[in-house]
Amino acid sequence: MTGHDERIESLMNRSLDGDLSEPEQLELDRTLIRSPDVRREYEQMRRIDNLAVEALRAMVPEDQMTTVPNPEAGARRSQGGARKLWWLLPAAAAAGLVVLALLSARGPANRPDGGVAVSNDNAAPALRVVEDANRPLQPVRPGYRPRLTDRDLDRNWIGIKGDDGRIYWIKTDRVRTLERPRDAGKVKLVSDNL
Amino acid sequence: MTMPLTAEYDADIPVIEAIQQGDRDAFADFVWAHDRWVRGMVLGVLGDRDAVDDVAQQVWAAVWIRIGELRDTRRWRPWLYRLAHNAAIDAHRTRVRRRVMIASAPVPPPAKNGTPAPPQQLSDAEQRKAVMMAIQALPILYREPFVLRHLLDWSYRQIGEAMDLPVDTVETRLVRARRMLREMLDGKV
Repeated sequence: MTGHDERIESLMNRSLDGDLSEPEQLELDRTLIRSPDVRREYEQMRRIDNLAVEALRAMVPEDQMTTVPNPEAGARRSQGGARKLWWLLPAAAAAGLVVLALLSARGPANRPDGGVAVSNDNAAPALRVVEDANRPLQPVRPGYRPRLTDRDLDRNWIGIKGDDGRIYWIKTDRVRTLERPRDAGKVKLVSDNL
Repeated sequence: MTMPLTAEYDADIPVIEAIQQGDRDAFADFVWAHDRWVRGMVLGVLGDRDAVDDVAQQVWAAVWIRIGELRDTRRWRPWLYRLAHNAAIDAHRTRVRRRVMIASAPVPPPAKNGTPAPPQQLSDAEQRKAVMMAIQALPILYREPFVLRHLLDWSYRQIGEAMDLPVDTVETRLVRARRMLREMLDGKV
């Protein structure tokens, strides 16, 4: 391959990776217009790239995660051979579904924070009567708070008055992460006020 | 209010420090944030997903056990890359040994009436499969940066930082990976 070809090959590669400066992109565009061979090659590279992205992302989907190993069990496993824990996720999901089914079958229930959550028999199970719609945002998991990164799960309750005169409430969860430089220690979280 | 981040600031460093102090929640968060690239890394070495789950688990167990060895927390990316790379290389060697044993077994002769199929246009799914097989056939040296680039959309700088390589080397490896793939897939894609 000649020096010129290598230069064009490099430009094509960096163009696919979105790493070209404006003059370089112009140079590549001119070459692509002039040379059908280079154009064909570039199109093939782009096609392979797109197929590679699709194939690789299908193999490692975003929503699939390694089960976080129990650190101690992980230590034992690394010494005594691998043991698959693939069943943990579906088992946890199944257990969660069973708990949800049991809870929804119970009907009126006490909320953990003392309020009464009464299901309307004719309404969708997601809607429940609420006593106080003006509750402040509640941090659900205040335990973990690294020194410089704060991740909070805020739970917000929205009360809506229904046609039947009862108040229904909707739960919304939101995760947020606050990050701050090492020397800026005064960022306030909602949970700091509670 | 979220403060602007400085160029040097790395939000993962406090998480690493928390893990070093034995914080399991921090460890779970760290796994959540970086599992995909560890899996991508492992896939880059192994070439297929058969053992990715097992190796990724081994990597995370090793992170928990050996996090105390990480002195300079700013260099956690190359450290994690090295852990994942070594675990994947070990798994790869084991599999190659197994394949050699299988390959050395006698192979039955092909059927007499078998005629080679004529070349034909591949469907999209077949093309993806062909591309995946070609990626698997790349040498690890080139496959790793290629997978990191295409799976995780990492820049040359990010790949170089994780693999502890100059940006020029990353680019050269990607050029060669693409050239090899083009040669392998010529007429198929």
